[in-house]
Amino acid sequence: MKKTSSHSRLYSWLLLGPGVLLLTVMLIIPMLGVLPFSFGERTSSGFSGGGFSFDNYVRLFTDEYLRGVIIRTFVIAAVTTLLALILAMPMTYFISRSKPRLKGFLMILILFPLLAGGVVQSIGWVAILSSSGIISQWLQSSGVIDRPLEIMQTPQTIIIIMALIDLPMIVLAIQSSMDSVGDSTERAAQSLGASKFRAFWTVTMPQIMPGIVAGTSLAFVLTVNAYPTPVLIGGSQVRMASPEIYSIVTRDGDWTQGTAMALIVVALSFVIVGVYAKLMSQRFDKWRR
Amino acid sequence: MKTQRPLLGAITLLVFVISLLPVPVLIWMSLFNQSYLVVPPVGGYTLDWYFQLPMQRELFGGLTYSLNLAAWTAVFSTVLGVLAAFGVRLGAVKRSGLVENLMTLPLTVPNIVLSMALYIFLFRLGDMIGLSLIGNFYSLLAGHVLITLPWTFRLASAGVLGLSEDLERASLDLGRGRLQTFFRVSLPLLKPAVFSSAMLAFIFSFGNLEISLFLVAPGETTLPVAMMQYVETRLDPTVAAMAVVQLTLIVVLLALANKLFGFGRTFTGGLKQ
Amino acid sequence: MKKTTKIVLGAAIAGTLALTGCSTGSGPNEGSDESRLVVGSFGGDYDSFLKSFVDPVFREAMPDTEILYSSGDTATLKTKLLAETGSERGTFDVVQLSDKDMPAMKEAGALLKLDPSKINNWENIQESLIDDYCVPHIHSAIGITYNPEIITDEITDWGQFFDPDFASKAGQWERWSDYVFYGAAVDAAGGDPGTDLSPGYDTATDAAKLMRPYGTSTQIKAGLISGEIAALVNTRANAAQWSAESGQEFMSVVPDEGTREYVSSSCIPANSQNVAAAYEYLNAELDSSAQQGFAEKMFYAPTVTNVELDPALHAAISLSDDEAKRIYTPDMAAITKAMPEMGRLWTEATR
Repeated sequence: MKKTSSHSRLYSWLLLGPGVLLLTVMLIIPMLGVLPFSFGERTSSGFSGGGFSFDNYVRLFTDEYLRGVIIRTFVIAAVTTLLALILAMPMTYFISRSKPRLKGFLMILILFPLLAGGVVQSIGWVAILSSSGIISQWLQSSGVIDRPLEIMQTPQTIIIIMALIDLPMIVLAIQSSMDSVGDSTERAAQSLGASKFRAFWTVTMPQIMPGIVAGTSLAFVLTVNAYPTPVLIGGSQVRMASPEIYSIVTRDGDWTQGTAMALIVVALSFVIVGVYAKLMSQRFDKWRR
Repeated sequence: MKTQRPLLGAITLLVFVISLLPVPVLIWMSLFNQSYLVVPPVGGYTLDWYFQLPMQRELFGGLTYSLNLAAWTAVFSTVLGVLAAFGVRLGAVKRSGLVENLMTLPLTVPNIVLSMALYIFLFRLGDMIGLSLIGNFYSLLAGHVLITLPWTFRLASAGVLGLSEDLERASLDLGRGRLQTFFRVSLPLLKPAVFSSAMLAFIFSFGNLEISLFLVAPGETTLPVAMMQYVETRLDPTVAAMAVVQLTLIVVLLALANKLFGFGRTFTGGLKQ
Repeated sequence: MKKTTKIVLGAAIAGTLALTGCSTGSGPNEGSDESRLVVGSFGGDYDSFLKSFVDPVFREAMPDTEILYSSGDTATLKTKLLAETGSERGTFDVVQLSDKDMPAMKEAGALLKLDPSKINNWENIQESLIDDYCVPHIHSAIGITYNPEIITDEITDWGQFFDPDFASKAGQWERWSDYVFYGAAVDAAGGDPGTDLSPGYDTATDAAKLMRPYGTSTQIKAGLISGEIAALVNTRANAAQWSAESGQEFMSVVPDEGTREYVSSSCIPANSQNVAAAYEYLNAELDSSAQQGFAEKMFYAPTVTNVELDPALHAAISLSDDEAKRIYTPDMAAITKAMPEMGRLWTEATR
């Protein structure tokens, strides 16, 4: 039992202090600082032309183009996360049941794309997938196709590439839960006649659910907010939120619309993840019974 | 179980190969003896691009600046993360949910928007108090610590969670003060978590684009910013070579971390005592 | 063993920090002051050329002033400039603005009104380019660029460009999409389109549906060079650059109906902290040797008349007298206000 004396409460605040201070000063306040812009009137000279209206927010729902960007971003993020999860499960399982040395090595290998950073990864993929890239040239020279390969700047390509980038995160999240569940319970279920898959599904899955929810939520949000990959790979054909906001602000000079969009995106991600987590925990409780 | 392993293994291998594909491609490209991406390379291969890297002022300057920045970020971010993790542990349990959400906040905001908002905020604040808060190393560092904090806090929390209270209690019972207990008992047990936090913070800081874009000082640049700008106008072996250098650095760091602190093991439950 | 490892590691880290720490400079800097000049520019090649050609001239006038180039592209620069407008001490002393960005910055009050007496080469600036707030640095005509190997007819006017047959062989970079709209407006007006480009919208979007869109300049360059597209609308300078790079010869045509130019200007922010040095930098940019360097390396035409160019170069990048008559002075403020709409039309048409 933890004793929370007033002493440790004080220490607690002291220890949390620097972190919370940093977050407040460098995140919360600046974001609140640009919030007023979103209610202002558009101006080409400055951030906001003053006034107060919800026009910019309304436009996000009524304007076909803007609405499209937002919907596209969230849909792509959802599909990406799902794909990443589907790929992550077998991989995590495999890694989890591997011998320790192999495990450590595999974990590093898995983390590698994540740590390489979006910029380097995307540059590599551009070299591979662009219409004047390696695969395109190879396919053309071997006669398989007669025109340059057009798979860049499509939603499918972005989804796959971002799923690969999100993958490590989900593996990480599920990994330790899967480890702690261990073989023995599953084996026990199998010895009682359950198939391997059934054993996994009924025994292991429920226990790693929290990890899955945490991992997928994180991956989802990171994908929604992604910047270098959508820019380099999606280009102008697949417009996602972050590059679009940046473009609205810098190319169009419209801070009012840009900030409104940013805030809606943040709000929507919170809501979606919140609902998702709630739903999952309800189902998960049911499942456990 | 046994008969399914080959299938799982195959899937794992396939996904690995695909997700790591950019690496050999970049390495290959960096050796082309021509500045265009034509395969097979018309002019053969060369290592020249690597030797010429130090002369690429922007890219190479970005490399050294990023290294330095990442190192400092790792230090501060880990410290703050560990402190916060302990703070949560010491305090009332019901706070922890809120704190966790707070700590994850930087990830939920599009970094590019945050970067712009920070610039505006810091500039105006600086204006009000008469100091220049913009375009210097410290605000850039603060920005990097901010966005790596979710990761260091998370890892540190996991580590702190695995700390057994009994050992601490024993130490306290034996007459050691709280602070001593912290340094002599808790911290050493946290070593893997601390070092993997630092490593992660380093690598994420090194690779960050959006925050650096606005906060880096005039006359300086970070590697991702320099690379992004480079590929706006061309995609040639030079930038591929730089990417390979960056990747090599990461591999070396990871290998070192694994050797010295069992980095790989950290993620495989090696924290449990 | 463990202790030694720790010490070695500690030393290594300290060493790395020390080595790379040299680049952090000396703590918080004060924007700029007497000894520094901060230039915000386009990045990439442009900056390299500024450093090669303008810096030396500047240093002759002010040898003790440090020149710092802000990294980041135009988008970042505009945001920062805007964020700093209205306050007394800004980060930048000189900013390079394209013709699209200048009106907004002027309107925001970010720029300093120039004192011609401080600019050495003021009298020699081409009349059509003179502006109160900025000195024109380089310029080039925006025309139809095409590959004569693929398009064997001689192309002379916008009408030909917007012909569906031709348009389907053409491409355009998103960031240059407004050039197509301008051309369409000229086509619709039969001449100078004035402040309203909308008569040309239909022609432009029809063509856009047939043209191939590109997301980066690298890609469109590769597209033209590889023959993926046979034409686009961009500056004569770009056409010359890409010709030089690829060894092919791309034609750049100033259409019969006329067109406008692209101008890159240098301005001084109103809150610059080193105005004297800023003026010197502008002088250096307008110096004939610097102008010549840009002409030779970047293929943009000089904006001052007292520059001696090699006749062949002059023919390739500058305008003939005949062509010069067909250049209109655009109302950039009006064009920039129409940009968001044109951008949307473009994106939708090229989906």
